[in-house]
Amino acid sequence: MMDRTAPHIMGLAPIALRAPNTVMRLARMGSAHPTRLSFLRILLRRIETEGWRFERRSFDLDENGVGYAVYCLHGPKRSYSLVAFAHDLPADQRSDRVIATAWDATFTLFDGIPTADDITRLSANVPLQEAGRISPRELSLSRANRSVRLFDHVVARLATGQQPERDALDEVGYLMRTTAVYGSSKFGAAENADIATRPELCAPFQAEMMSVWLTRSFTIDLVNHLARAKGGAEATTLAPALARSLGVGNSTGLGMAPFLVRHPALLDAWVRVRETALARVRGQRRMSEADLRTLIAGCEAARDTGATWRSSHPVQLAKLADLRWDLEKLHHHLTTGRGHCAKDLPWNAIWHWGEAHLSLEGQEMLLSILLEPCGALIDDLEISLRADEPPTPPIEGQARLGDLRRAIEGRYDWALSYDFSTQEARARFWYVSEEKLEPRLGARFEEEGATREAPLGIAYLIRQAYDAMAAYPDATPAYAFLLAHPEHRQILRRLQWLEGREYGEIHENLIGADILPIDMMRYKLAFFGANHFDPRSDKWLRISLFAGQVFPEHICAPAHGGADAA
Amino acid sequence: MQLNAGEWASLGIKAARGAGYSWGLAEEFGASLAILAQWGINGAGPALALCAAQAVLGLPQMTEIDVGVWGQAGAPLCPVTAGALICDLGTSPQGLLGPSPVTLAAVAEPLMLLPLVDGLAARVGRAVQITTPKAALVFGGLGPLAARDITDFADHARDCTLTLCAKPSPYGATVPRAPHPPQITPEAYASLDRFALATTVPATAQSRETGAGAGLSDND
Repeated sequence: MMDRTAPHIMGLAPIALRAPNTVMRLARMGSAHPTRLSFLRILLRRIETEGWRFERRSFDLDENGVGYAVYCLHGPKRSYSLVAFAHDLPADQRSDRVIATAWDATFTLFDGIPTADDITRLSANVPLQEAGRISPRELSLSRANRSVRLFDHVVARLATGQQPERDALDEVGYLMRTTAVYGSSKFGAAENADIATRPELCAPFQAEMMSVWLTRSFTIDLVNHLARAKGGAEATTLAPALARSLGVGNSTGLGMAPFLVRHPALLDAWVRVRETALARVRGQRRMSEADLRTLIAGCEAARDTGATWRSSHPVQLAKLADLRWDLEKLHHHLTTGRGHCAKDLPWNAIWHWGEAHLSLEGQEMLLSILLEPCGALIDDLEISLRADEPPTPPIEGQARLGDLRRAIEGRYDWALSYDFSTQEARARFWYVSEEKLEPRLGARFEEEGATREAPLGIAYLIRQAYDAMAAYPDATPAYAFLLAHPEHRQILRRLQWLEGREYGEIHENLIGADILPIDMMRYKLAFFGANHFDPRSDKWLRISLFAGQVFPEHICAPAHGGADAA
Repeated sequence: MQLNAGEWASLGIKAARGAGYSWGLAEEFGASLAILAQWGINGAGPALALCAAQAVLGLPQMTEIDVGVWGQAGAPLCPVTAGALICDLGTSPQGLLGPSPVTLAAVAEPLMLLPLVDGLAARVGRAVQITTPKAALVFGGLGPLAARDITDFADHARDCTLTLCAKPSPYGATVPRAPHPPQITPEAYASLDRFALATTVPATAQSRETGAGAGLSDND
């Protein structure tokens, strides 16, 4: 069995990690919030701690905003450059969807500082996105569109020397939205294994986060540039406080959902880190009055986030109402409750109060609030966010079917609990669209295509393998079973690979009639550090990255020799 | 065009599945292509041949495993299924680490077998020699292969005898990679991609409307 006791740390009370059947449920996963261990926060901490330098090396855009720009970050050993290509996209071609073929801006994160030849090569490929090819010198490929609701409004106001309406900024939260950010090995980019040994890229998705952070700077520079082109001497630049409130939008569809199923060891590592951090924080024996004030301030900041969080989706509206009420209750509890600091295990007492009184949205926000002031206790965990994921883990062919059956009964009891003889339990099927080569979710009994189902319905696959094993004696070795039943090879490999990685499975029937894929996406995006989740249907949502966070100028010294077109 | 190892693996998995392999064996198929790419070898030709012949390839039988001679059913033996079984058997007496050699009769596209055997040998820290009527090579964490080393494995069908060497793997713990992944011709890529497309579902009016959750404005 997996050890769910948090590793002992001097002075901390031992608190068990929350169980997988509590944590790995979609209703809770779909209520996750970013924490200080989210990937974008890890990136910003490292850049600040290590004293990285920043320069806007090129900004060569015409009065229509067409051209390219290069933003460089210089770390202790290496430099990374965002190369941005800005286009003049007709409004009728602007689409959020990953399947679009033209964008307002396209980007790549270059490994080092690009030469003129590199820019020429990239200019012939990056604007084409999936239809082009990049090289191992590039670490990401992405694109973004201007917000129809906000971008032109901001440019028009700045061009006439006025700041944009604060409400309009809060309503949208970003000037541009990325519609896809591709990383490791995609379209010829560097493979993760080749760059993950670098300390600055060791935590997950650091290259992608770096790309989006610099993209945010580009979006601000772009509106300032266009306002000046339009308004000349009358124009002003976006006020720093307003700029800081803006992030980079992202429109996320089903493409992200299968990731959590296809990378179970990584999912296990991420969840284990989050749960270990919570257990450590709960295990603290003392809470000072200053700690309590910090928690109250954190609750108030969360209340502000809740107040500016907009959505029009009925599911999210209900959850937002819960969250806002939860934060009022939490604030009241922290400010009027007596003797928080005098209690035995005071942090744990607040956590238990939250479990008893808050909705899932509120409980997961409380997790985020509790972790925030405890960096010294938990930040070292970020090194454990990685997982060694061989593409094809070996199968222990000598394992006996009796043992494998018992492993299923012990670890996949949740999967065996579904009645797959009903249509409801098999109502959906995951597949890849021939037209767009993107993941889709179909209706099994209404649409064609289930014979080409992608193997993401783990619970059903486990059930099928379990039933097939019933025809064989307990002593049968796995290799013999697999010789007769190659159709169960993939799920058996998974069963064996995930032994001891019990946070690697989502404890839900992912092909059931009532599945909400947006819950899977939100969980992953919360690990990224996203907020302002705004579902647009059960299958895609909008979010914002880096809203409220610092810009490079805030934590980086200027680099010498860089061109500055500001 | 040049694909990196991850792209070779992805293309291989999808093509093999599209050709009729189970998802699990398709993973071994993709892994084999990716490792060949890391060795600097273009496996597109053998991969295409296997995809085209998948339905008629011979498979190892339990009765053959016990006598150590696999693939006597007449049809060329599938190297991916055989390689996966060798890996599954691991250190059991019927496998490579047992007392007797394993003989594979008439292996189709034996090149695809090599990375799987090499992976097992490296994993258990032993060397495995593969012998054909024309060649012999020791595996166990092999690095980039010179083209001449594998010419005789690249024939369409070969008898292979796999023997555990009495010495540890001669290769280092870190497997070096070829400086550049191999080129694949656009024609070969398109052919493999045609098999891969059989894992995808054509769009319908309903799927366009609901499959990705569209149906409302995606532009703001």
